[in-house]
Amino acid sequence: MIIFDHVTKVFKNNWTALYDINLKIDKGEFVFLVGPTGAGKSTLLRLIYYGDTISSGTLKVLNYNLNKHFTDQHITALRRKIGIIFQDFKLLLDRTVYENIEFTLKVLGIRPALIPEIVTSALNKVGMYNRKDFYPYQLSGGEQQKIAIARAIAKNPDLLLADEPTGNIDYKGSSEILNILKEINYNGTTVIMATHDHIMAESSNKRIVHLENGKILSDGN
Amino acid sequence: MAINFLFKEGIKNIVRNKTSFFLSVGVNAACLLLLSLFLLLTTNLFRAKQQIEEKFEIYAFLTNDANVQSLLEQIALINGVKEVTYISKEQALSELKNDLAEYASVLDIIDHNPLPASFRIKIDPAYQLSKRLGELEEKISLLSGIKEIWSGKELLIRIQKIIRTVVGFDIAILIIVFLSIIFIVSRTVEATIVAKAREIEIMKLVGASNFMVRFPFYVEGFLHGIFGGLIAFLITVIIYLFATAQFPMLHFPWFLIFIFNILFSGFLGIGGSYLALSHVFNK
Repeated sequence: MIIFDHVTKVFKNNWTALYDINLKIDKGEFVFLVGPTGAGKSTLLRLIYYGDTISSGTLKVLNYNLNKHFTDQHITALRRKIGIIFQDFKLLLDRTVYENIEFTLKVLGIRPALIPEIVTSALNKVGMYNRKDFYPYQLSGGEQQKIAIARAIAKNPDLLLADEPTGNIDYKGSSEILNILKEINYNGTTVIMATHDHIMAESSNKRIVHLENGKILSDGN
Repeated sequence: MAINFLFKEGIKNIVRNKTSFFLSVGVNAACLLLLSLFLLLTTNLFRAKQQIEEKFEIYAFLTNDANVQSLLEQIALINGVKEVTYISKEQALSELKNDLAEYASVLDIIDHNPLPASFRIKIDPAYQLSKRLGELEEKISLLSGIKEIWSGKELLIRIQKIIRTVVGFDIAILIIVFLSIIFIVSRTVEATIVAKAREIEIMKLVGASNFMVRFPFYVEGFLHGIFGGLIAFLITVIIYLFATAQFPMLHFPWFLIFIFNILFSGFLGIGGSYLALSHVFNK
């Protein structure tokens, strides 16, 4: 599903964020990217959804070769198969929970008649249907992240990328988020979660890729 | 494709930024109104010139002893002459009386007919306002029996000069309006783009194409232009209706002014959006 083959990412200011990364992630896996701030976790995730381009090597994601000639249509097609959640949730503050998810589906051109059912199903999966008419600022951090997850899974992605999804959330909320992500993975979606919380990752009994200074230090359970 | 949704998003952009929208539309309308009024003036000047050209004639006044038939034949043979009509002294007096209408009685105090016989010579439009007209006039005036020549070329030349000046103003105003609308719309749309940065980011992350991200802003720019144009068009119509009370012969080129105001400004609005999007996304 994802193959990093000697991938290096050097930014314009000559800072090497990732150095000679070799990594293979299969369909249905749950992988933790663990490492301190600046280790290259977010950069690695950005490369996967073509938020950044690789400097050298080969990167294949969902059968797409993410080289420099990747077109706008390719990016659109790739991202439609990927759900992404962030530490800062990226919710639209002037829209309700329901409208936040509806917005994504409308952007994707989903038929209007199908939207209520999809939104309801996504909110039920994260246990937030009763908050559908709330605005994001009326919710706690953990609840906002659940909405972000609902938005990501509403389009039924093959791959879910989570960049520090529990970074701004307390312990109880973090556990709930992790359980939701495990549930999503259990239903067949590949999940890659970047976190600096190695204790949470180690207690999950999942594959852990340890990154530091842009290099993979270890890869295993 | 979610065109309906994207179109609604464009309208939402406007609703959320009502004040800047109305300000932008107001300035656009003012610019377009100026352009429309000049367009009205220009088309009427062209129309006047055309009417004068259609009636353009040379008057060749005859001496008392002129051989009318011989002159008629000679003039008809000159290049550029389309038609020659002989006007006798009596006919000239009768026409003058008709022109003077209620004041015709002033002619009664003159005991003889002072008007000379003449030829009215219609000439080919290609000879009007060209050097050849001078040559043609000279040829006629040199004929024996011709006392004096008069043509309306001075008036035509004057109108031509006025038209040239007005068209110059038209072009200058067109350029100013073009730049103003593009600039105003681009600044307003750019402010909306910045305000919607998060929405755009989310759209891109979930898989919206560049077209989908940009479309609502093109709708917004187009509507800026269209509304400005519509207001300018309505004000131009009102001004025209007032002006016709004083100058009933005024012509209003509805289609031209409508197209200029609505479509031209609509496309300029899209141009403004394009500029704003390029500016923001190429940063």
